[in-house]
Amino acid sequence: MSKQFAASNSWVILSDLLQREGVARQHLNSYNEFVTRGLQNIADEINEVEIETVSTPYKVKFGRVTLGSPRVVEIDGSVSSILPMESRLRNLTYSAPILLEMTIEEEGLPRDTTRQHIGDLPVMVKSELCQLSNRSREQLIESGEDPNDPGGYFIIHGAERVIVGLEDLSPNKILVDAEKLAGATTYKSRVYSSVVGYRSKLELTLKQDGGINVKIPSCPVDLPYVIVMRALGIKSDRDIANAVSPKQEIQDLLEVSFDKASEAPTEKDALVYIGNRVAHGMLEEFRVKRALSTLDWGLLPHLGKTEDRRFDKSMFMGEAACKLLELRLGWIEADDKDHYGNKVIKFAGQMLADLFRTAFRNLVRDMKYQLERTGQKRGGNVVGAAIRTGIITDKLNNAIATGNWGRGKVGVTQLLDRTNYLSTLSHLRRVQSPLSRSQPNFEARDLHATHFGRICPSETPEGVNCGLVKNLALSAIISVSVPSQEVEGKLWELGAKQIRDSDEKLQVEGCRIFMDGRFLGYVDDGERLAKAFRKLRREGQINPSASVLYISPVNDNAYPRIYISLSSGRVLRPLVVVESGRPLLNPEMISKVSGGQSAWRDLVDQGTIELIDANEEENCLVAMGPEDVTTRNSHMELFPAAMFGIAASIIPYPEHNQSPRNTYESAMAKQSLGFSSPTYPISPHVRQHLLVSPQAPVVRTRTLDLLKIDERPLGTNCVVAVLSFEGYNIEDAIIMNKSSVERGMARSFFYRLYDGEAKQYLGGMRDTFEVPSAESNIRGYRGEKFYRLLEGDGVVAHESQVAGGDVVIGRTSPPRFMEEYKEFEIKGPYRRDTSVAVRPSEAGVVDSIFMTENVEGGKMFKVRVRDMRVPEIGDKFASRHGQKGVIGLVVPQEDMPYTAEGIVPDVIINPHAFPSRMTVGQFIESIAGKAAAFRGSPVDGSAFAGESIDEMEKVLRGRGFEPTGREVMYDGKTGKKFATDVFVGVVYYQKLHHMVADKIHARARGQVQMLTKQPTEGRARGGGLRFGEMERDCLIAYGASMVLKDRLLDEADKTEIYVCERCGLIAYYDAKQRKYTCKIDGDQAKISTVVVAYAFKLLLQEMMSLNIAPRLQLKDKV
Amino acid sequence: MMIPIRCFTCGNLIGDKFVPFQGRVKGGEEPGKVLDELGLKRYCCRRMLISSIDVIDQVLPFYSRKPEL
Amino acid sequence: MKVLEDSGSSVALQLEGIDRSYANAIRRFCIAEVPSMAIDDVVILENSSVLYDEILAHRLGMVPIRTDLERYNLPEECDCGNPLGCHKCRVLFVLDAKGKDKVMTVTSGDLVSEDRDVRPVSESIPLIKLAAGQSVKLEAYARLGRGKEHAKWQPCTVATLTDGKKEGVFILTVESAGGLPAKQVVLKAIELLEKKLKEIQVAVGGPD
Repeated sequence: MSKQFAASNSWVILSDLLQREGVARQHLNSYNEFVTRGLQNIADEINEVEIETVSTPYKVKFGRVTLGSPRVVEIDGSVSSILPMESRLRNLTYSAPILLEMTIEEEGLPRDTTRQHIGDLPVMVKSELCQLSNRSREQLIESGEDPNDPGGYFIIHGAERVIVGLEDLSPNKILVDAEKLAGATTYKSRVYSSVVGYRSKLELTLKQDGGINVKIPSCPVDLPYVIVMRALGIKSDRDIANAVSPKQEIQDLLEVSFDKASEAPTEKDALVYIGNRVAHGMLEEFRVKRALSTLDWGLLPHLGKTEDRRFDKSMFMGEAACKLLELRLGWIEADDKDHYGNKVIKFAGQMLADLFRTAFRNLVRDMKYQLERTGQKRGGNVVGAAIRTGIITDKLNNAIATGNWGRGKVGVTQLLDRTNYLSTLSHLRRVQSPLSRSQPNFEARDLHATHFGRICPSETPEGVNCGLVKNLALSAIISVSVPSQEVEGKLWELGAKQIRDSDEKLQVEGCRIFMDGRFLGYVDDGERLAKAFRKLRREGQINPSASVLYISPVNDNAYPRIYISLSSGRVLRPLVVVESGRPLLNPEMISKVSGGQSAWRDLVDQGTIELIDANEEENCLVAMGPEDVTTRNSHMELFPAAMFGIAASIIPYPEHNQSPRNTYESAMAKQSLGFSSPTYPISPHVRQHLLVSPQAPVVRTRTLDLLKIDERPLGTNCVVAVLSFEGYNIEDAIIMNKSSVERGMARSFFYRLYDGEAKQYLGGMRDTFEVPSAESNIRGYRGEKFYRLLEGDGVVAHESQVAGGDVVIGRTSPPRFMEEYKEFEIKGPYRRDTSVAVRPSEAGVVDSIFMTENVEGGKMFKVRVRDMRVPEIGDKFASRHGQKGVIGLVVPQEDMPYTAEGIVPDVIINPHAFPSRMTVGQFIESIAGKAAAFRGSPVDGSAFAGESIDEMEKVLRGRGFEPTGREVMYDGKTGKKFATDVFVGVVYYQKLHHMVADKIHARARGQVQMLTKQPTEGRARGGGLRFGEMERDCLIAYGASMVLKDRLLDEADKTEIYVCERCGLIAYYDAKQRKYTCKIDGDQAKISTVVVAYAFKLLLQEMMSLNIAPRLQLKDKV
Repeated sequence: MMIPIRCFTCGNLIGDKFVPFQGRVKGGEEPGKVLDELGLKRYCCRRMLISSIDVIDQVLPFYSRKPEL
Repeated sequence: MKVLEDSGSSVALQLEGIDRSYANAIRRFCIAEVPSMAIDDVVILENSSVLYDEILAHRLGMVPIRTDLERYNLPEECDCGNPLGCHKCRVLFVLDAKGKDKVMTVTSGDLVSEDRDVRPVSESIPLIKLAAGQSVKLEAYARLGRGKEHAKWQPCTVATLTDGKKEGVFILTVESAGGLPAKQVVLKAIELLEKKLKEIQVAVGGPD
């Protein structure tokens, strides 16, 4: 089979997968699961609440949880159903009511069943709850919604917020590790045992003396291993040793541990021993009770919290110690924490479940309190009245709006990036690691082999978050949880034995089986079992999300182990199954998928394609393409370029670039301007850009179809020459053709939204929209000219030209402190001007005006101002190869170099951009772009599968051009031929959203800070440019003392203060008596004026407030 | 939003050739040949026709639903 | 000198015996100095389309318009002295279009000119697309201008001066943007160059 087969054809499968599932599938699956099952489970956890009234206590039992459809409750109490676009425009929260069935049970008899509204759940856009989930393209357009919007985010108070995926260590896994500290090696075995909403870490340490210690969170000190095992109810030492391993070498190592446990030889002693440490100084009976509850609740809670689970726990503890000792003996290798098989990703569903659980508990507690206070009255109405829906609604809304998840978790949600379509998609596939960004965590930041096909190798930010913020690869699929019962049944059928049923021989020679952190039992031949398991999965008898990993240890003495994972949040990737050297995927299947007769899911069901997680991949040998398949291979890649994420997959020929360049481009692609949504005329985003004449790249990658680049382009194909030009393109600057700019190239619009709502205040006063008039004595009146554009309703006219400071929404508010004014102002209180004005450094045309009503019933205006941005010196551009630069000069066409054909390049970049950066991909793109233009059809530059450069060279030769892309050029100013040929081609350039118009800033005089009287900081406040320490040092070194004084005093916070020469303290001028006064020296005071920095005066006064007398000793100036 | 009227690079009129180009390519003709026949010999003008996107077509359906006035 | 090609839209001349700088000056004058007609001032009376006034005006400006250099003056050289212009230095175009039941493309053919000879070079240049109910009504004023002012007034698309086969032989190729025949562009360029040189000559105090 040729390369073309693999590349062009199997892409169809992946494309089908992504088209059908959408890029936000992981969010939607997670949320849908939470809505359909998660909510009910949380209600069931509590199940009932006892109302302990004095006379007749009763119970409220919880039944089914149901959800309404998204709606808004208006101020007048009317309820209307809403769509996302309305929520965005009216600053509403897109949420649906949660209804819970509650039954009152008196003396064991159910009385009254009612459905109660317990709060509102924010609805994920395009989830099952969302009104948009099953609408057609046309219907979506009719609802004012972008048909290509992927959904997967929430709308809280009008803002779109995403809960980004959170990477976490897999729960309930025993990870062993050898830590070298000061020459000595300590061995540790760790388990993060977690059940819903609860997590407990178990740590076994092999001490230097050979004893094993156990650390559990609820116990303040480490416990000897054997004592814990005894406390768990294993009576004989033999059984304890066998629980670890029946093998002699291991048991020998346990000797020290047994010696250390000699003070508690029986179960009772062991419990007392533990009890002494968790409940010191209490009654023995109580101590034992506490010890037992510590074991049941604090130790391995994922195995259960009841007495009958203690045996399972002891077996699991045995395994934990076994792995620890096998590591000590060098039989197995230490586990790799950064292996992606040891990671899971949590999405919105899990995150919301955590939040909802606490909120629901609070609600129930509050309800119980309310009902107990109400006393005798009961019935559905009373229960309904006792429910404060705000507890859940506010908690959920606040958490999503701010990203504060409680317990120190911040930044869980982010504002959805709408810079362009690609940045939105990329944002929805982002994964965050909870690791601290301030610590190095080198290994955690590194790219790991298991990231292949799961996490994009290129797309990660630079700097503090490097390697901690990741992005899912195109081929990544997040697992959904698989019910364990059926899988377990299959295992028994396949010959697995429970621990209790395993004879000694099996326990010594067999293979241990684990399923999602449970020690299930043994099987004689693990490899056979794994194989049989996979066979069943391919036949469709086991869920395709289930994974099996068989580990044969490096040393034959150690146990072979089988791990079966059914949990959600694992990252899977699709691979083609290879059997006896032949990939099962054949051209007919591919053509069926491309023809639409079958889907990728069908291929999974047939067993042609398998979803493999990072663990199972350890058992696979994956061929990169059909030509690499041998009989040793178990799988074949579907489409190697799918190893990249959204952003990196727009880069043509990325395999020819130095890798960091692809990383830079991945970051820049998200800043490029394009056409983000057809709803731009009404999109209520605070900032928004629109490229006027966007083009699809002529050198494309196949993944661009998936990103709908033909509908949402983000750049322009430019004719680019690589040439120096009068020094104006050194240091990465670019030269742009003035005529191209004038013909509309890279022209964009910038929109800013201003909004103002009429608030209602206590006492019935409210804000009014009006043109503030000079006559009515309004505080903060800006002057007539700033209001000139306002119409009668207080809002600017459509399409009017506005500049910085012009009011777009005229509004007055009632006075802040009514009473105070009344006393001494005859005219009564003044209203305040709270108009909304255009930002001082911006200008534009009023683009659109929205008038709506917010939830409080207040009138609300949103005014959007647009500003046309024509490329100018200082605007930032970048190719798709991490080659960024700002315009250094815009040159008239007649001055620019031209080719023999007469083409004047749009852009001239400096040749120095290439040697050290090695972005060969850009050269190929340049040649391919030229060839594509001649050919009339785009060139495919997909990673590893792009069209070959030979093909392009042929096209160029056919047109009489050099295959190298070089052309003869003439200097436009002299008409002289350049001594050398120039490399010219067509390259896709992106305009990035950093434009000079938003950055240009200068200050002569201006605002000062209130406290220090020093100039303000920042462009938005018209601030000064800091003359910092280093600049100061320069002046000192140069001896320019007048300049120094000018910058640091005269033009900063120069003040005159009055100082009493006798006491050295600050005096003042008494305006009533018209004389200078010193409170200390009174009549004897000798007062002089001193020029100081205001900050210094402030320092003196602050010191005085600390009971320090800073006395100034004055001397005459010589 | 709409096909530029002139080639950004050389200023050649291309706006009137976009619809014929797209129509003929859709009709199965070879795009390279169509461009030649439309008289676009320079690669700067050719890239305009093959890569420009009338994004306005995606916006108009939002307005087509409700005839104003 | 030899005329290698003269097709109306394109002209190629072989030049011999003149300096490269002089030949290149002609090329540069073709681009930047020779006046041509383009829409410059647009009064938008109504625009309910999704294309903003700015974009629409820019698009109108880009439409190449047949130019008659004999009958029209550059506004700054026109003797009317009227800032609004007169019939000798500006041409009025009117566009009045309304979207019917289907999406409609308004083209350059819908522009109504007050001078029949001054009109877009092509009737089928798409200007704007209107959805049902949307309408555009505007007055546009075309005037002569120079390429150095804005690219829309460039009378030619490409103007190259390349080396011929022999030393001292150049080939000047000029391709018209449609408003003026290529040959006229070159002639006008030479005329304007001569005029400028004359001005220098006068300024230096030489014979008129």
